[in-house]
Amino acid sequence: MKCVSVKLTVEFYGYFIDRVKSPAVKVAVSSDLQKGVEEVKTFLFNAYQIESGYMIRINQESMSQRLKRNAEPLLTETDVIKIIPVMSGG
Amino acid sequence: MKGFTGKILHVNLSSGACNVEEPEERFYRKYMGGSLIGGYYLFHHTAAKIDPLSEENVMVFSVGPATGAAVSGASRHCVTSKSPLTNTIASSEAGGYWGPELKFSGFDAVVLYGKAPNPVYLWIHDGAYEIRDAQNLWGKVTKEAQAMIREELNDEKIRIAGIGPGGEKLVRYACIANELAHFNGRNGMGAVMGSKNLKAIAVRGHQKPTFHDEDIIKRMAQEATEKVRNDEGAAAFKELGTNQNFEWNAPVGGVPTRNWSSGTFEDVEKINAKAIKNTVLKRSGTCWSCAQSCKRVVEITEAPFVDPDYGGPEYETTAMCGSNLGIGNLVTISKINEICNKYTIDTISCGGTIGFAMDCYEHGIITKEDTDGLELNFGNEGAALQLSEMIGKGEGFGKLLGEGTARVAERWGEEAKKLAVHVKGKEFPAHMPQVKGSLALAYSCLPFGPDHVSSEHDGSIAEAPISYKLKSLGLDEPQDTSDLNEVKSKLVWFTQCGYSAVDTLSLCQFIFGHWTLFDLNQLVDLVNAVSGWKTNLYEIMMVGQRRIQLFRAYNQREGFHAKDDVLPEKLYQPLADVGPSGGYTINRDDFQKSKKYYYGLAGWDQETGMVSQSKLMEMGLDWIVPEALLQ
Repeated sequence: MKCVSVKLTVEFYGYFIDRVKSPAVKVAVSSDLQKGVEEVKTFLFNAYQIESGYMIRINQESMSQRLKRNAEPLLTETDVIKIIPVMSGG
Repeated sequence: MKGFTGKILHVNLSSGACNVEEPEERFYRKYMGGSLIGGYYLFHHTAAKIDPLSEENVMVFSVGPATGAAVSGASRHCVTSKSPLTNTIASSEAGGYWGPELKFSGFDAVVLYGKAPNPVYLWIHDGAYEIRDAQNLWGKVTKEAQAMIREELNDEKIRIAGIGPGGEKLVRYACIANELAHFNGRNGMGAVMGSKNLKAIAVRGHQKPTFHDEDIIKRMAQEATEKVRNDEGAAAFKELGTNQNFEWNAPVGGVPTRNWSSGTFEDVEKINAKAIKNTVLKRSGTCWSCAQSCKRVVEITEAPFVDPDYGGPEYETTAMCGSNLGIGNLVTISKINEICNKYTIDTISCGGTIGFAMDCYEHGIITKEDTDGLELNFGNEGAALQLSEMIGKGEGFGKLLGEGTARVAERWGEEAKKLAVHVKGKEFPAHMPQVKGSLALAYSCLPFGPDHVSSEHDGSIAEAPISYKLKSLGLDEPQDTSDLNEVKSKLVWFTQCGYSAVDTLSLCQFIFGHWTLFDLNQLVDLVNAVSGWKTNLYEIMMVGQRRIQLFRAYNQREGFHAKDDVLPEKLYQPLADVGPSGGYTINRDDFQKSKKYYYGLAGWDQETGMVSQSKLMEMGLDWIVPEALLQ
């Protein structure tokens, strides 16, 4: 499998939308799943100071679920990375 | 002694006798407040296996050392008693205005015994107290009763914690309201009040407690105000309230739908936080001296009319009386919320029980002959409205549902039991263990049954880097939210001790914690500022654990063991939808392994779940050893 750079959609939820001032942005990352997700995290911190307190979903799955399923080890431009803030209870 | 009044009022409602106890400072240092003080008295003054609705039960209203300090999150009070819903010990916390006023009236706690021969209310003011006749108040909803008490005592600033007809009719999940819109919501504390013929406790006082360092309190109050203004998370919480939970539960398929059959609700956009803000919301509400202002106040000025004085639906209500019933209409949800609040019935258990009945109806287990003619299909808004009022009034089919899911399932038979979602008789709050794996442990093992604000939820350790607040508890391995394993056992146990400390101190989980305005180190700063003690996080965590171990020992005395720390069968069935959590289920082996690991962390026998004598000695609770070891 050859890794390339892919431009995919990063979608924001909850109050992150206010911080980013947009519900979604396009980000170029490596198509390698784990590397690509790490690059998204770095982007979140560098661009918006979002460091922790969020969950990531790739479409409807977590990264480890996708790795376990092993169906799509590479990220593609149709994938949507969802950044979901967390809060306990309420 | 700083922070406390140093006085605890004991009231025997049977005889009318009252006395004031003045415990030594070391008692306060050990038990600190809330339901740890409450549990102490409950354990000492109730025999094993009493009927929670008999006059033998004891109930305790209590506050903490910081209650009444003018800082966000210090408004709360706790009610502790044996629960008529679970038959376990119960701790039920409320925000609002009553807690500080109790302290200003001169007391840290009120311990109630016996049963009044006729309906009464208790009037506590500036160190004085009296039992007053309430026969004219009996049968009144909370707004009427509150107005009548204030008129009778000629003071509009009196704060009242009381019950409506739901409590009087002994609905097993009746709650206690203060200021009409704040609740000791869970575990049926309102029914215990009703069983004692106690309509309300009215408090008023001018005895502000002395705090050790007012400057630190002022600084923290200012810091809270600035954070709410400047931090996006806190600002959004003020703007949208707890209904924000839809924002993160929906994308992962974690919204309980149609009696927990699915985690994806097709109309979630019609009932989420933004929908509330854009339709029925009148304003944000708040508690005494709190900058966070996370409460909802809704108003509907045309039929069916919703009175803003009764507040508005929080996330738990919106989900349990909305998606869980297949209802995507905020007007109906707001009206159900108003009905529950005026009759004082817990919206979570009410929604859970109606959802269970709807599920049984759709499965043909019950018919219109059983439901007083109501067609109980999911999504039938009229039936849900009518039924919530019937529960509150204790009428017909509603009277049966007022017994709660477990007892109704017992009556309807084995097929019904398969659809009943409860642990120890208590309905689930609106967070799904299939999606947040740690809640399988929390819901099954918590001493008072399922609760959503007793441990940190799984999203907080879903991704690296994990917040320093949780890393400092040794939680440094990211886990999938739905995973159930040893790391999740640690997540539950470590954070449960912290959350338990917050409750013991009668502080707000939405202000002091891991995602909130202040972390637990700042909680220590506040305790030191109010009390003058030189406490530290270790002592505070031990206080939190002491409460858990005392509760466990109480339940052990009542006959609860590992056999009761279980999950309902429905959670082992895959979620039936094509949303993000489609097919999710609880794995039985994962649950058993994690539970044993959790028991080990808590110092309980890994087979029986029994708390050991040495653990109780470690907690300074050796006085309960002889009773706790009774089998």
